[in-house]
Amino acid sequence: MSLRLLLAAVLAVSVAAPSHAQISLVRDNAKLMAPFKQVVSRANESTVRVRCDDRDCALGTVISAKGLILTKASELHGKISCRLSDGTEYDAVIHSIHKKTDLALIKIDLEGLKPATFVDSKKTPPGNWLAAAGPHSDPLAVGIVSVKTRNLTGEDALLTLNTNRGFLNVIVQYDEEKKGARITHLIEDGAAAKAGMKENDVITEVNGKPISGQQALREALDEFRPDERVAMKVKRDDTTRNFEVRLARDTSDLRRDEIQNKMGSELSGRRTGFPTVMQTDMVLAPKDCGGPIVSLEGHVLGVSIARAGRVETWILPSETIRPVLVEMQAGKYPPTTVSKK
Amino acid sequence: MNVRGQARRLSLSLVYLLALVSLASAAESTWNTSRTTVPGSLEDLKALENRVRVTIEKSSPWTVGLLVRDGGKTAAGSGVIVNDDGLILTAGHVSAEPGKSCTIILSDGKRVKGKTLGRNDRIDSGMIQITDKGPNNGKWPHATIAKSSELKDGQYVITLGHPGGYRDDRPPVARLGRVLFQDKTRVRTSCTIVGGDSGGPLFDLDHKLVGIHSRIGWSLTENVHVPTDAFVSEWDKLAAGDVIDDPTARKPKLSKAILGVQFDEATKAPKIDSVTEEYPAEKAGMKAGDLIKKFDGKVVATADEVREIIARKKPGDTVDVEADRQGKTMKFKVTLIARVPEKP
Repeated sequence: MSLRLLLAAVLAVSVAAPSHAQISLVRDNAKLMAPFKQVVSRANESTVRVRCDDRDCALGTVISAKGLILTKASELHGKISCRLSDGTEYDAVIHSIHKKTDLALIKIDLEGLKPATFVDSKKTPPGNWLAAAGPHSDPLAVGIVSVKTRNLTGEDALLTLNTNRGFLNVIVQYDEEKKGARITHLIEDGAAAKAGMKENDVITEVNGKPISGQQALREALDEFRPDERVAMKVKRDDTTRNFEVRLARDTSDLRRDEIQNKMGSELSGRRTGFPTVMQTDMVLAPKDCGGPIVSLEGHVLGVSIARAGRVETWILPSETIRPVLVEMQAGKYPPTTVSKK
Repeated sequence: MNVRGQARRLSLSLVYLLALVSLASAAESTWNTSRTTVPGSLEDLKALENRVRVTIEKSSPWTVGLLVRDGGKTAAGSGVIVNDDGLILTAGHVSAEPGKSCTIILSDGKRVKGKTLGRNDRIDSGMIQITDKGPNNGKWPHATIAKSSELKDGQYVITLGHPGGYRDDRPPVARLGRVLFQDKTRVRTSCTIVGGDSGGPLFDLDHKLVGIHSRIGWSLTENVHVPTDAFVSEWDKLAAGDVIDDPTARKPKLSKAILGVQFDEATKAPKIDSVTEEYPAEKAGMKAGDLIKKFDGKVVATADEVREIIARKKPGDTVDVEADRQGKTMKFKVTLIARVPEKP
């Protein structure tokens, strides 16, 4: 059901409060960091800055003294490196990628870093303080638990809205018989239409990878950016055809609630489709996700995984991270080498 | 002093010391709910955390999601129960048309029915009545309203609501912020709100209701709520289903023709306070103090009635006017002229 979400957004002008509040929020926010220094100091030692093509792209959480670092997979691209708090920088290689949680393990050639210890989050109630550890002494952000750790259902659980990726401009329905995604609607002049695809074509492979379910097409396309070319294998009537599609940018008319969600802060590209999250009101930039989030006791309850909206940042909790970490370290999720044409 | 006496004195001092220490920590661990400065120590952080947690615990059951039918679509917002009978405060743009049925989603996900009541369009206040019976012997758990004018800038407050609309398995979403500004019709805080939150509650750290979410601006600190005082002052009208300050209500249009009088504002009667030099009324001989009895052949009792007649006239039209001047009946023939459009 598509709901109209109510909040009458106003122009800044009509809010017309005095341009300075009687309190100085900026000064106070700086003051607030002081008592949090001791809260994050231990976790800071397990936090590194992750850079891609010489720009800050994420934070990383050290999980082993052998140079293994956990970070947000969808932010990684190009040449990856880790910068430590002392300013030294190390080249990094991708060790594992876990799509569902958007976690990646990267490895640097350095031993002796302090790993983080993950503490259960489920019992932490709404209202408790949370702080984001970072590469410097102050936390990157502080906030409260808005909703305690929960499994995501419905729309939030769907892997959608990665608006930074390339689009086919089609609506599909999974076809069990033909084992592919059947195009039920082709947007005129869209990427798939321009490549010569038609309604009722069933997409069975994307760049050699078979499409096994309703989500599989979305997940396959998640890897690609706008303007990238992908090879599609398609069943049309009784024949098999190959198409090369140049993916399009996201130009969908954003619903009003989407627009409101983007007011005031930048959102992460991949911000849905997680199995379990703890929700906080702290404000983190997308490039500052992937680091440890701690309670007042200094316990690492999880890692920040997405700036999900105007009112929320999501944390992937320890309970979800631990089993995935074990599997990643066992080599179960090597990074896919995709042959792009 | 003998050993036993010394021992007793020592243990007594120890007791006093312990008592002092426990008093000190008891004092440190309570957050003053009207404090306007940020926490400065770990003790402060813990004290604030305790208060915030308790506030959220207590106020979540009073916070509801709302689904209101609006033509063919359904609009989603939030609200808060404020009395035993299940009266809900929400935003005017959520309750919208009075007398419509709507669905209320309780914090545990249970759905009950309700009916929309009145609203004030200018300040964005609205009311809804739950029509199902409450769970506690027919009574509803509800919030207590506090005087929003007692809020101080810098004071910590809590926002609850359903951003993005109600989600299964997601209780009301809590956010912590501070009061930034307030006046008679709005409170601005740093608690971020977004579509779906409209109508939801703003609580102080005594878990008392102080505001209702209304609208946002671009920045993360532009979150505007309707102060509870604004609801209280118009309570009966809202509860009766009135629409206050409806911008679409027919207001007399600015007339094209002008007479050139100012009416006495102290009375509804068409008593002239002053006449404008060189304008039709003055030129016809009308004066301050004249009480118009008949205008354009019609008996008039109020200034508004005179204005309504003028509104239907054109520049150049002639109007017969009868007025009372200190007991004497005066008659005038007035030719209306064009109103000079005001500079924008």
